[in-house]
Amino acid sequence: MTPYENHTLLEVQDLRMHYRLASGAVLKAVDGVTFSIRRGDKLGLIGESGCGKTSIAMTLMGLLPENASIRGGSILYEGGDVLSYSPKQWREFRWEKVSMVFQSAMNALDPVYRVGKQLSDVYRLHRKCSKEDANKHVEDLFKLTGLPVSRIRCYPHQLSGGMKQRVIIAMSLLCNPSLIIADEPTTGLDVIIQDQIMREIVSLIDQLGLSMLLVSHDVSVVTETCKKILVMYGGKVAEYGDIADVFDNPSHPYTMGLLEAFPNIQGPIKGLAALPGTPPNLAVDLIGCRFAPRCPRKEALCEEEDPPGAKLHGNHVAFCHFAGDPGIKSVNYCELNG
Amino acid sequence: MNLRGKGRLIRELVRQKMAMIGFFVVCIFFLIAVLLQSLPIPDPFALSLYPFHPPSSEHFMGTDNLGRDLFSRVLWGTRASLLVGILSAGLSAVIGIIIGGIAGYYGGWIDDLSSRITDVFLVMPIFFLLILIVSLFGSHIFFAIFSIGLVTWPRNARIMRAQALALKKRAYVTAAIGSGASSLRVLFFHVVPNGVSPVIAYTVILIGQAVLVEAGLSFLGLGDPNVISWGQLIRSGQQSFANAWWISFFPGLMLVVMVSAVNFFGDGLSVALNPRMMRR
Amino acid sequence: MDNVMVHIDNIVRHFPVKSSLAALFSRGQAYVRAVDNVSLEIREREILGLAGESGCGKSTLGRLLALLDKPTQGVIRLEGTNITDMLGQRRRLKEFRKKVQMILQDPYESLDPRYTVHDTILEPLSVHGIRSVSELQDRIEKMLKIVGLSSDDVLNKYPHELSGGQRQRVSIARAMVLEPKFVIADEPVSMLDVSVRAGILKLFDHLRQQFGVTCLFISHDIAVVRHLCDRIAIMYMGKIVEVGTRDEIINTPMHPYTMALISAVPVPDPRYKRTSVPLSGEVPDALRVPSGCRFHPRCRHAEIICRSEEPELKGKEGRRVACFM
Repeated sequence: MTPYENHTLLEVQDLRMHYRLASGAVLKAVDGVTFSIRRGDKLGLIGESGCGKTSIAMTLMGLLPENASIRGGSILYEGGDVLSYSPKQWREFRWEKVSMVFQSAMNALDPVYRVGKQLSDVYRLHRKCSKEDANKHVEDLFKLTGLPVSRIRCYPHQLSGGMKQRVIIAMSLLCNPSLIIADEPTTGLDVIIQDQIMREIVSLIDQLGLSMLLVSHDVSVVTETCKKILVMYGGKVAEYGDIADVFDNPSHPYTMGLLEAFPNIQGPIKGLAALPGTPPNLAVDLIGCRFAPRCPRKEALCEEEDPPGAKLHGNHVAFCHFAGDPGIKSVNYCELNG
Repeated sequence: MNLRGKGRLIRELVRQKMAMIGFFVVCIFFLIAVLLQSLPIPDPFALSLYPFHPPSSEHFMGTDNLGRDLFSRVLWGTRASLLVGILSAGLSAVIGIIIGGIAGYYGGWIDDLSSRITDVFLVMPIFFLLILIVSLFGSHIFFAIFSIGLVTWPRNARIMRAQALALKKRAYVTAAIGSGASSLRVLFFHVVPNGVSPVIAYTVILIGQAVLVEAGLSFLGLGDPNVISWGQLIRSGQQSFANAWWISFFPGLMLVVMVSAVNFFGDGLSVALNPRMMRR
Repeated sequence: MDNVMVHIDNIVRHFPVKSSLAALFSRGQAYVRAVDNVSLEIREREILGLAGESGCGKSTLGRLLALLDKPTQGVIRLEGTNITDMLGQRRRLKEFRKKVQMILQDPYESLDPRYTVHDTILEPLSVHGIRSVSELQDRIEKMLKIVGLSSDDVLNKYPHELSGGQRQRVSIARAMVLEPKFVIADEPVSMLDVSVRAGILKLFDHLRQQFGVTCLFISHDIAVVRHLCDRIAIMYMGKIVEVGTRDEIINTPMHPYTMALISAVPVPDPRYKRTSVPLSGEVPDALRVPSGCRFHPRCRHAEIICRSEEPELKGKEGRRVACFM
């Protein structure tokens, strides 16, 4: 399904992760997801709320809450089985090999400590070194991320939104990881700052030869920064491939709808797609295609069987019974609702 | 208007075992108080020829100094306790909600004034104030209810005020104002219903406190002499405690059980009503 | 020639800052000038987009227009009538509320969690004296249908049983049930999933066609504004810096901030090479407003005059810019 390349950094196979809810029900947040990231790749994980993308990011970082459990599948990092790591191995993995740029600076920065200290403390947790060395390293990172060195001794509330986000980026780079997971890194930031930050992230990734997994609900941001895209729906993969392929030839009705729902400020003004219905309740056992209830092209087969991955051009895959079928192209959401 | 997530609330409550035990005990007391006349117990006022009789199969809790059946008298005491407890706590809650709600919602001088009054009451020793009131004005049971209610509303008001301050910024309050609703309507139809949970939790605990206060007052002889109450019973057994321990013991035991039960339930209720449970 | 529905003349809204530290370092009272001398016209039946980044004052302006807040200075006229002093007059204010309604951003907070959909939409009607049960039932059901909800489905549900999109539709139904002439929508789709947004935007257009309602659409998302609005006004630090038709603003922006803003919007097309106008710094602290033109510290074209004088919003009919360049 996904090509196993020589320089594969991360390989996720059929990952399944469930949450146990207070009511006793089981929420299948991630239900059989497969993808891989090679060195230098920039993969965009896109989907709306509840699709499982943040759950995947948390699973990769080992930051799952108490009521989450991994039910199946594997995560291989440079060949090593991450899911069977001992706590010691996790400590060497988390932040050293894979690190995260968090969504909101509020969640990641402690308001009562100076930012420089927070960074050097994290660094010294992972590397045995002196305070001076740690501080020097933090200084270097500040310069790398475009932060004025004078701000090292500032508290988080003294920094602007954009600066705080740059501190978060610096924090993710502390231990020279190979893969950066950016979880909605620009949510809550104004559009001009968002543009600057995303450019800086991409430039750092390219400059340092890192790989990136960008988790976002914003198709525009992902399209501009990533080379590959993974569209998620209802805990499963809907479509996967190189960004140009998926954009030119969307083969899953959800992808088609999603791409049509984003207004393009540069393109001609046309009707926006409004998808009927709501995302599925993942706490209930579901049969068949997750998108079927909302799909304008659904047929009986869709409600009975899980769609297999249909291989299209290159590494473009779509999980729809009718992917590649010329008839599916006629899905038009704009005319659907009045 | 309905309690959102009622099912969840009940589920949370049931999880608190002690709270449920407390609830059942209070229910039993309540039933006793209501069904008193139909219960097969002796007349609490009937004198007999056996005063100071220890507990026996005929008199489960023995008899008092006038030969009256103590068990029956103790059960009759339930009525006074619950009456005072529930009515005075209820009165306190109503006054507290109104004053606290108005203070928190309108702010300004209304808030300043009521906060000052609240502060005064919060530092006063309530029990001594009540003794003063009751000894000056009389000891009829409804007077006790009013006094307790009138003296304990400030804490409820403070809780309600804090809730009103927080809730008046909610979007649905703005929306109601935008629809043209008068501020009184917004306060009592939107702010109060959504903010009243902690007041309810505190009021339940207040019931227990009111019961104790009533018992204390009647123990001191300031209670309504026409009403059988546990405090009165404890007092009547005070002198003869060395020889007839049961006269003071059983009413005292009932008092402890009742107040503990109410407190357990109140605690469990305030945990279950915790806003974290009610979110989305 | 379209009539003007709303005149906004030199509206100012200052918020006194209570921090003692600020008072220490400045002479007298420090103010946050959330809305600073804004003048604007909103035409009948148009959808005017008010765009800008967070903190620019657009939400404050929206609240002022809905008379949910009192302007420090200035006059607002609705269909010619001065409404600015209505805040103290209960009866006139209530009448006003029938004509102007506001739709808020957060679908989760806009509805009282203890009210069913029926009760929520009922409230404005009953507040304004409509008592007949049959008329109430009729209007509520009709309104639900217009906003795209089935009354059998949602009438007796509570907000927590509805999706974000459904809740927002209920908010809209509540606002429209009194058939207002002017609706102010404050970021109505920002908190909704993308696939649900288009439905709500279409609804606004539909409402304009069916009711002839005028709409002020406040949003930080320019791409959305472009898709829905006839004209666009751009705000920066409490001032309007540019106004024009949709095409004028998007295709031929004149103010440097507008240019930077539009160029910063990401484009969902992998082949499009977007070049953004570089801007230095970030939006300054609201307490330390730059002298002269507020944008000058970040502007590439800034000259001496920009530092000392504030440019006025001027231009031709409907198309105005506040810039010396």
